[in-house]
Amino acid sequence: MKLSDLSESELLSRCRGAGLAWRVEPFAVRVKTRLPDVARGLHFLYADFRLLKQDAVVDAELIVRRKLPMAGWVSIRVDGTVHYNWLRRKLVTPMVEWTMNVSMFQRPHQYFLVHAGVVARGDRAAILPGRAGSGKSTLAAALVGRGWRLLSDEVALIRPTDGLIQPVPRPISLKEESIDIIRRAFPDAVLGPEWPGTTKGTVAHMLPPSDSVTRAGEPARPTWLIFPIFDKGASATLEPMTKAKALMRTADNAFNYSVLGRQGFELLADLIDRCECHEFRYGNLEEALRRFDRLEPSTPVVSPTGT
Amino acid sequence: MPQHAEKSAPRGRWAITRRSPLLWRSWDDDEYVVYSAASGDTHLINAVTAAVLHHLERSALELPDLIHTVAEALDTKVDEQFESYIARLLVYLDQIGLVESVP
Repeated sequence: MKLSDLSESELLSRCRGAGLAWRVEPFAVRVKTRLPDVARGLHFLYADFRLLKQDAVVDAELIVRRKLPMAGWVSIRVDGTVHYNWLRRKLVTPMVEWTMNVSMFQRPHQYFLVHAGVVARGDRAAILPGRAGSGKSTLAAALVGRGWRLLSDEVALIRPTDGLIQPVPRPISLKEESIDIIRRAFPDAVLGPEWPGTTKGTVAHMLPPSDSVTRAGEPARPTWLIFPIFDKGASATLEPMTKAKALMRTADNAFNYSVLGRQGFELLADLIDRCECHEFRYGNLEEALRRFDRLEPSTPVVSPTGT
Repeated sequence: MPQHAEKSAPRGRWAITRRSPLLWRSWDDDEYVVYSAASGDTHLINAVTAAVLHHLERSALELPDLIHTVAEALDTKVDEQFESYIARLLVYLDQIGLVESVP
């Protein structure tokens, strides 16, 4: 059963009661709230995701409450700890989504976590590391619009056991002018409402395609490691990057490199071994997509497990 | 290596920091990455630095021996500039905890 199968009354009843729990592969989350707009927002953003029993064991539980008697303010707790204490009510839905993002990726140190968008063609994944403003979300959204499978908008989850990338497809958070760019370029893409006034400016979420959600259990092989740089007006150029420099740049973008210590270095070096590494400068989305259309691995992809 | 590293390394023998085994990866002859288990730091190093660390991993060496060993490995002539570079490099590697002087 998916979230979209719930009626409005079932949805609100769950949220008010024991909570609305669902799978965001490979994790599980639960939200409790009496705010109907938050319930409806999650129902929209996660429509294709698998519903769980209300008492399911989850990786993160969020409780969203009004700050009574201050009607215009809310708080968000994560696993019992206050995450936001005074949050403007009108921005609560995008902030709940952002809080889920943060709480989900705080602790899963069973994976090597790299701040990156990840998309795949077939079983070959392109990892797009980058901080806010690098253009990774816009590029990932556009590639998904072009038919690539969304593995992640935010974090590459690399499995230590086999070096494959575990998908965690979630709504893509688009900011400011990227929202219109994606709306114009991909009229069929499903985008939610725009939320002006967040700390990241105006935000809107692009839903992951159903196919990406359905195939969230299918890992992909890291094949390309591409550092995007959005440079307004620049031609699309894909420049090779030495593997040593790519390792250092990826370490800078890894969330738990220092937590994993020696294992982190080994995992990162193995990842670099498997990938073709590039820096990608682009100023025009259509041109960028045409360059990605031509992307082919120069060497046969070898399974990390040797099979 | 920062320019402000001191010019001369202390006398005596030098070795890889004992508490810090190094993990290596390289994909070409020009650049190497080395991970220090002690500090948790990862360093991008050039071929000269890699040669210094490689030789000090094998055995502790005095500075003059290290200079000649590294020069031979890199097929480089030993002159004043090279000696000074290795001496300053050693001081810098000491500062970041990769090498240490040993009795």
